[in-house]
Amino acid sequence: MDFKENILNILEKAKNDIVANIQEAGITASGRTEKSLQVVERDGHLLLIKSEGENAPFETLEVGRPAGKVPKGFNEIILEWIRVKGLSVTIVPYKTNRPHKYSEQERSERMLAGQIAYTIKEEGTERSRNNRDDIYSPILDEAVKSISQIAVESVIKTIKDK
Amino acid sequence: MATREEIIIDIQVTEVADKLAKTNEEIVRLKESNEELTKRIKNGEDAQGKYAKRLQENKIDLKDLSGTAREYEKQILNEIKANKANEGSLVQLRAQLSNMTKAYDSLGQAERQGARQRAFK
Repeated sequence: MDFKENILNILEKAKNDIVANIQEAGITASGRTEKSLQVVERDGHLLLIKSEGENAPFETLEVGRPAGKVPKGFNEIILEWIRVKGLSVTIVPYKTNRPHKYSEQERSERMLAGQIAYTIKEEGTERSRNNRDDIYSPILDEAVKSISQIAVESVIKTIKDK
Repeated sequence: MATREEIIIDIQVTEVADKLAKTNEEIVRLKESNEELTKRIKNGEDAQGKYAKRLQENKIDLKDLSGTAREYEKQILNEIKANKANEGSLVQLRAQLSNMTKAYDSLGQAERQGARQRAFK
């Protein structure tokens, strides 16, 4: 196994370990973040990336989302999250018999989405108030250590072989 | 909530490391060839001195290549030495990867963001 292959294996293992941690910690919703992690080789660089797309920024896995500006249509984004996460919603029944725009289920989901979106905007996510450091930090530290090790060993071996 | 691509770890296999690897491969190849030539000469298969001539040429090439490889090693090792002072820093991590990385910048950015959030708490 050559040097490059070794590094690619370490990056691949780091990716798989991060995905396992996300799932084990129960912080997965749609699974888009996990799917977006990739090991690629590009212009002489070996990279572990989170590819662009409809997924949250990587660091939110540990540091959450701080209070502040939210994107346009944030309520709809949260509504989508509630649905893919499969959260149970307390049904709020209608009090009148006139025709309604939404079903009771959808109205309840929208109410919950609105409340969550407002809380995130005002206070940030729970994880932003209670950061964790066990999703990717130890794995990346370990990966960098392993790569350092094989790089140094490779230089030493090169010198010894001659 | 579309996000841009984020680089989590970036390992750059530099030209110097690549050149060193190629030079070493060539050295190994020449050494093997020399062993084979020496064996043939010893077995008396070199009546016209063809193998001896090639062996001599190989030895000169080998000397050149060894010098080149030493230069590349020196470049790599010097960089490790130069960066040792900053132990624990990103620069040192790069150095540990012996010229082959400019890693971790994006992670550093994420950590900085985490620190900013903690400061606001």
